[in-house]
Amino acid sequence: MRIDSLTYLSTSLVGIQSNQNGIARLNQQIATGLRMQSSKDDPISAVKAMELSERIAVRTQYAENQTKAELDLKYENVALREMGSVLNQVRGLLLSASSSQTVPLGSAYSAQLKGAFDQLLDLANTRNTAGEYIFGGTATNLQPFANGSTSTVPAATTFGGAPPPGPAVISATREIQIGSSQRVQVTDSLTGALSFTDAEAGAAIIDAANPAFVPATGRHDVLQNLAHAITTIAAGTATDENMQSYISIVDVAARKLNEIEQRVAGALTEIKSLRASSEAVLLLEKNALSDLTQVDKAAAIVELQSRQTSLEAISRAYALTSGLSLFNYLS
Amino acid sequence: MATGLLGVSLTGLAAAQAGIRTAQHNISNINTPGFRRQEVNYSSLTPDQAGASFYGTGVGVTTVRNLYSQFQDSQVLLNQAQLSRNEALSTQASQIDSLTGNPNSGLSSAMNAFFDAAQTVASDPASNVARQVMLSAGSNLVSRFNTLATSLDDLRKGTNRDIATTVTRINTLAGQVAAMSGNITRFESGIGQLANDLRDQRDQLVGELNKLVNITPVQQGDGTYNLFIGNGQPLVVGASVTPMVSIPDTTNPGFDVPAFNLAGGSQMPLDASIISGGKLGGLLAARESVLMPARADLDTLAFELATQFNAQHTVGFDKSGAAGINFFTDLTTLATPPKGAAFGMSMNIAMNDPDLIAASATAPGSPGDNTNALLLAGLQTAPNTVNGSDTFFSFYAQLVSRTATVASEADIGVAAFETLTRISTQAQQSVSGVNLDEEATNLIRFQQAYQASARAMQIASGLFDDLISSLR
Repeated sequence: MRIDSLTYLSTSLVGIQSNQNGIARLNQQIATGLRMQSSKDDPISAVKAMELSERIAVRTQYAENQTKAELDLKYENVALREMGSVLNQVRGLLLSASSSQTVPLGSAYSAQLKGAFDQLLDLANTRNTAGEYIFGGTATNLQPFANGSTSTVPAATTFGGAPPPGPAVISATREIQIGSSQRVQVTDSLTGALSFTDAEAGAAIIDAANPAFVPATGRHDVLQNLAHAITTIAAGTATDENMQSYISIVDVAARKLNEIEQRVAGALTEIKSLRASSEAVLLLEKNALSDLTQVDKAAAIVELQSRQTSLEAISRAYALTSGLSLFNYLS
Repeated sequence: MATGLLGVSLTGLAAAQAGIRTAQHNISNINTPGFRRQEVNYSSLTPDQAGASFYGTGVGVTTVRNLYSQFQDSQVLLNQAQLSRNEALSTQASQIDSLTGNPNSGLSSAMNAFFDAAQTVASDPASNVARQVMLSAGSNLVSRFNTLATSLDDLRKGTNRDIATTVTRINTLAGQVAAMSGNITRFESGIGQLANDLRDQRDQLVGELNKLVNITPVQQGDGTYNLFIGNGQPLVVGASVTPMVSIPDTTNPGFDVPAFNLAGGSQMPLDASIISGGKLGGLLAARESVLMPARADLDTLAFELATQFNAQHTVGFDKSGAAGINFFTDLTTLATPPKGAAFGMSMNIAMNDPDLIAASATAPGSPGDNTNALLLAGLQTAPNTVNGSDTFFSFYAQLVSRTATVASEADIGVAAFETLTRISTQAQQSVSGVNLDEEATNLIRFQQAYQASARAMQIASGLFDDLISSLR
């Protein structure tokens, strides 16, 4: 085929340009560490990478939620365990005290019971590091249990029926999202543990602190009973029936607290196993993302080398052939 | 015409000069765009009859013609029009691609951050820090939507400007082609020969025009061109031009469209279905396949996100137990379909108080209730939030994917048509291009012919001298 002089001279240019483009692109890839400089370089991979990034972001957030849930539950666990040991101590005191003891001895028991009462009240009003009452249901800003009496004799009350927050608020629990379709309960209500109905207790219990107790609707209040015990034991007016009532109410409370503790332990186990599996998936997804987006540095450098070689070859070829002209030989 | 011994050689000298002159012309124009190499056509002159024989009277120049292949020329035009189209499309689509697909300017990271913040509020509803972070993430998301919408709007304005300047340039070039056609007719009818260089210049102008809008040239008997665009809409007929203008597109408000200014004052819009090549074709294609859908989708996304988030937010209660207010400014006041929603999206001014985030589902006094916050955060992964089948994120991913695909196809188109244009140009130049070595050979050939003719003349002159001196 006939070839014109401009085509002859510019043939090398195409190769030079394409190699220069390739080298610039490789340089950019190596500098940024990214295989794709924009989505159009590989639309399918780019969108897949975007979707993966979103999944990773969501999963990372779930992992953070798991940590937060774990922290909340561990905090609660400590408070519950403490409460259990206080109730144990109360039970021991009530067993050793008898209805027929002398007043001075009764006062001594009463004083010890008062200490346990204060401790229990404190624990029921436990606040987390952010200053929220952890047993306050969703009314985390209000003290859920209060000693309503100003005298030395306590008369603790729990929220219930009173204007805000109402019983629904105090007994509400909170859940945290720890997986795409998995939530874990991170707070518990003490309304079933520190106050309960006969039905919840599973037996008809005589309520010494509340002689007008209506089994169908009434709730036994542990703190109220303890307050009652402190008064009667100190005054020596506690009857055998009273003592029986105190002990059985404390027993039910201890059992209920234990149930909550078991739930918390179960939730912690659930988080732990979920964390293990979601961390594995997260790692998998992160690897997949880096496979999609990261440049293979070794391959890039090898390609750079070969591009450089061919650029040099083309340049040399151009230098050799561009000087050829018949005019040079005519004199 | 002089005949005889000297006369015959004289025609040889003239013919050689014509050849040298043409070779010089070719060499001089080696870098002239659109120049086609020329060649002198010779034929022997009418012989003289002397007695029973015919004696040759020398050589004459029939014509100087330029060498070209109409087929190759039309191939170059076709490929060049598609190359220009793909270049314009690639430029536009790549800009939108880097806006939407880039993690820094795109929406995906801002959406992730916003819903992450909502999750944090859900796991710690009473925390002021978490609430504040969610407000900031919301503002950031809004400004990302606004920035994207503004950038896309700038591209819209830029496309309108591009269409207007391209149309002006088309009018200029079409006018020049028509004027050149007139010149060619005048020149050629005067001497009955082809005006090679004028034709080259005219074809060069057509080539330039073809880069702007794909042209179908139809050569007329008198050497003029009729130029048609699209499905046969006449742009240049003989020496008359149908001027183009850029007018507002009635079907796509805010966008301009090229049109023919027809005689009688009416205008004929030319959309992407008519103009399929050249820069103008690329601009129209980018507008219709990328810019318009991207704007519409971004609007839909902003509208759905704001409306649905507000709907969930307003059924909740804030930290103090008051009913939730709109988190984003209500977009329902905008015309449906939600035009400009992404542009007009903003945070509710009242929402600068983090306590107003409605994380709670109960009123009053439940700062620790996170039920509504869980539902708000859940909107991120809730299916069917947009168009009845997509999550916010997957809807956005489709936008990115479509834009990236168009940009990638345009890039491939640029590469393919660059190669095709180069190959067809090379094929065209193999016929029409100047080869210096060939011209060097021609120079020598004609030089030698000149020398030989001169020598022949010398011999003839010698003969006369001999004759005259023998008579002394």
